[in-house]
Amino acid sequence: MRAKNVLNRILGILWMPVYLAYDLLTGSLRVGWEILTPGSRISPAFVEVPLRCRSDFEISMLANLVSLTPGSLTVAARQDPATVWVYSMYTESHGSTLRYVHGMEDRLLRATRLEGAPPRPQDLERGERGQRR
Amino acid sequence: MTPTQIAGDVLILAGALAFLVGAIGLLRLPDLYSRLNGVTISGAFGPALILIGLLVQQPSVGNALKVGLALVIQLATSAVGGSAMARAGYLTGAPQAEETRFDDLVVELDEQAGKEHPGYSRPDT
Repeated sequence: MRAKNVLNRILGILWMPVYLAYDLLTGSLRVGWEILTPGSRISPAFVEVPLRCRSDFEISMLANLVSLTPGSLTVAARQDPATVWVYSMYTESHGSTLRYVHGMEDRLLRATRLEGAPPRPQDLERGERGQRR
Repeated sequence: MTPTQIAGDVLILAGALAFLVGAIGLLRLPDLYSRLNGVTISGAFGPALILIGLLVQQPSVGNALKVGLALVIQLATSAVGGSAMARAGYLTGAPQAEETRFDDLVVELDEQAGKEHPGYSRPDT
């Protein structure tokens, strides 16, 4: 089903700017609202996110997409095994940040790979307080 | 004043306001990392609104290409710059806000993690 894969990839590439614009708009409004209203509702955290990206291009694109969205920021990245450390301003739990980044990764891999995005990996092992080590 | 001109003016004004919000965020937010998120508003969202406003006011194929190119370059450099500043801040030990819930990057045992760990902060000097 090669034709179907090619079509899926082209659609993925075309959808990317739409999703980016949506993320940029919602993220800006959320952080802007936080800035303009009194009080502090942020609950920041640095979260380690294992990735399915493999090539340098995929990892740097994902890191840039995360940084581009107000409310989340790439602090560090590693190529092997592919991982990014994401600062997220509104962290409910590890899982919510992981789902957010993996959702972005799904859309990216749909645009960069013919076979589409593989299933999402499991969360890393955590200590009792959610600590990585 | 045609409707497209008004729409373009509104977009450009909104972009300028996004810059203002980013500048207030620099003063209001608690630590380096959240401030960088405020900067992202004025580095990505503001220019995008202003450029699209310009395109709405003077639509043509040439302008669309120029605006598209400017958007791609602006968004890419803003994201790379934000990441680089966050990384430099973390490695030099910028203080984190009290609200910070957890930090997966923290290195407790330098011998185990090794200097290759992305969170390893202190150079030998």
